[in-house]
Amino acid sequence: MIVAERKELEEIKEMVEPYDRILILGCNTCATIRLYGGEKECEKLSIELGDVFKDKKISYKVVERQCEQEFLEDEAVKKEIEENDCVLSMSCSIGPQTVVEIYPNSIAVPAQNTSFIGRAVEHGIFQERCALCGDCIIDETFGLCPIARCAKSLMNGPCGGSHDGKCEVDPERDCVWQLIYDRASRLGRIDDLLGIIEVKDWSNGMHGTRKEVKHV
Amino acid sequence: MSDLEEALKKGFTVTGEVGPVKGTSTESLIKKTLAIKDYVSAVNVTDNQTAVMRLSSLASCLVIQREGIETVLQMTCRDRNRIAMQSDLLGAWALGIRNVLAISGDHQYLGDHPQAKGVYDIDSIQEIAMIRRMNEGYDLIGNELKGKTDYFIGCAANPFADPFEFRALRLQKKVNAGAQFVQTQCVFDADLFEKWMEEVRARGLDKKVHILAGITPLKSARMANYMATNVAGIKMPKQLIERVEKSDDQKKTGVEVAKELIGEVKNIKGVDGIHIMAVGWERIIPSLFD
Ligand code: SF4
Ligand code: SF4
Repeated sequence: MIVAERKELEEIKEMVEPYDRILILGCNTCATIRLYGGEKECEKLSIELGDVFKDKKISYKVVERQCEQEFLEDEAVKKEIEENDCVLSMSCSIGPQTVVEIYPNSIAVPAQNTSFIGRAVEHGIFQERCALCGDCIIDETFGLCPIARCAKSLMNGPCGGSHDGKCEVDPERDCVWQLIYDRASRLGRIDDLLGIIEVKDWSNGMHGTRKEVKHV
Repeated sequence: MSDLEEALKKGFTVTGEVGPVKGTSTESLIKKTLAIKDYVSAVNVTDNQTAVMRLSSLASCLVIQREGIETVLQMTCRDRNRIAMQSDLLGAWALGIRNVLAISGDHQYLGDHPQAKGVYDIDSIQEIAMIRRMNEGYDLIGNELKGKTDYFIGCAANPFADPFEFRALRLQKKVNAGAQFVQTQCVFDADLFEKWMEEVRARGLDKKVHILAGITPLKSARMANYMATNVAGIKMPKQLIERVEKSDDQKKTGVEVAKELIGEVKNIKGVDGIHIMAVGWERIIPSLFD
């Protein structure tokens, strides 16, 4: 799922400052499960903003999924978007972009910094699992992603900073190469790690030209 | 053949290391080089070491080579994509650089521009393979080069990082990719180093790659403590720190320790030389060979 982190109130204040009627728009899918942009978080932000901007009209609404056109085209949602002059989206950054594509006269701003796709490893703690590289190689790394989970995206083993299972960049963070090694060792397949993973083709992912996938 | 390769073929070899400064001043670079010139076969020049932005490694190599000593160009994967790396490698060869050291590089977050976007388009093992290809006359994609490189290809290895069992295996991957010499992380624990060398020999790597053991003379107990706690991938025995701490002349003890370590690694089967990283204390290097 897509994981995001709410921006600081200061930054949000600056974004919505020029507008009088603000609709905080939540999302019931990733944003709710991920505890960043569901009903509860929308209500909280509306109170925070209401305290600062006494003379603005601030309301909130939650849609099923902001990444899907049909939920944003719903009559009630349409009415609210058109009645307000700024949509403050609490979903991942796909939300505000979908809003402006469907409603070309609207203004939509992000309340979130969209961080990564990953999962909850425990309640309220999310970790990245995929960096959307477009050329998946985890069949060669025992099912764990070195692109997203190694701070240097190393494809052929741990750097010299791996220490006690943790990463040189952040002692709280697991070194994924330690995890990959542990799995290889558990499966008795350490020698598989001797194979060299060739340079990656990034053109199919984040850095490339391909920005559309057809499933028809 | 580079001077360094020739020296390694002949026998026990010593290399040094200097780090460029932040700025255009090359004075200290030349000073450090002149201090070690007579004791080393080549000088390794770091590439924005510890991810702190400095004068470029390539430019510094050229400045140093004017003093009549060969350099080893370090090239990290952190700051350049495959296009820039190959382009700089062609340029460096054209300008007379003959040795290159492929490394991942310290993460940008640990340096003085932590907000920077890291590149890491390819990793250090892929970099080694890429340089080998350039030596064969082709770029990474297989296009023929008009004038090829013939680099002596180096890599780094850290015998003391985790997981220990992966360390010799990783060196094997580097050798398979095309590495011809390796510089290790600073050795402070000769027994642990020998344990790694055992693995290295078991894989037959000592016959395939020239191994230079990293040596760093400790200037003070403060430096020892700093390195033990702040530098990624260093293992320093407690007794060693205590020995320097208790000494009345810490510099002298630091030199003694370094000389002992040199003596110990020299006796380890498969070690072909030492790589001295004096981190600013280059003028002490002559006294290591008294
Ligand atoms: S290899 Fe690429 S696609 Fe596969 S999990 Fe990692 S980032 Fe995602
Ligand atoms: S310590 Fe591990 S996760 Fe961190 S950069 Fe090095 S190899 Fe990658």
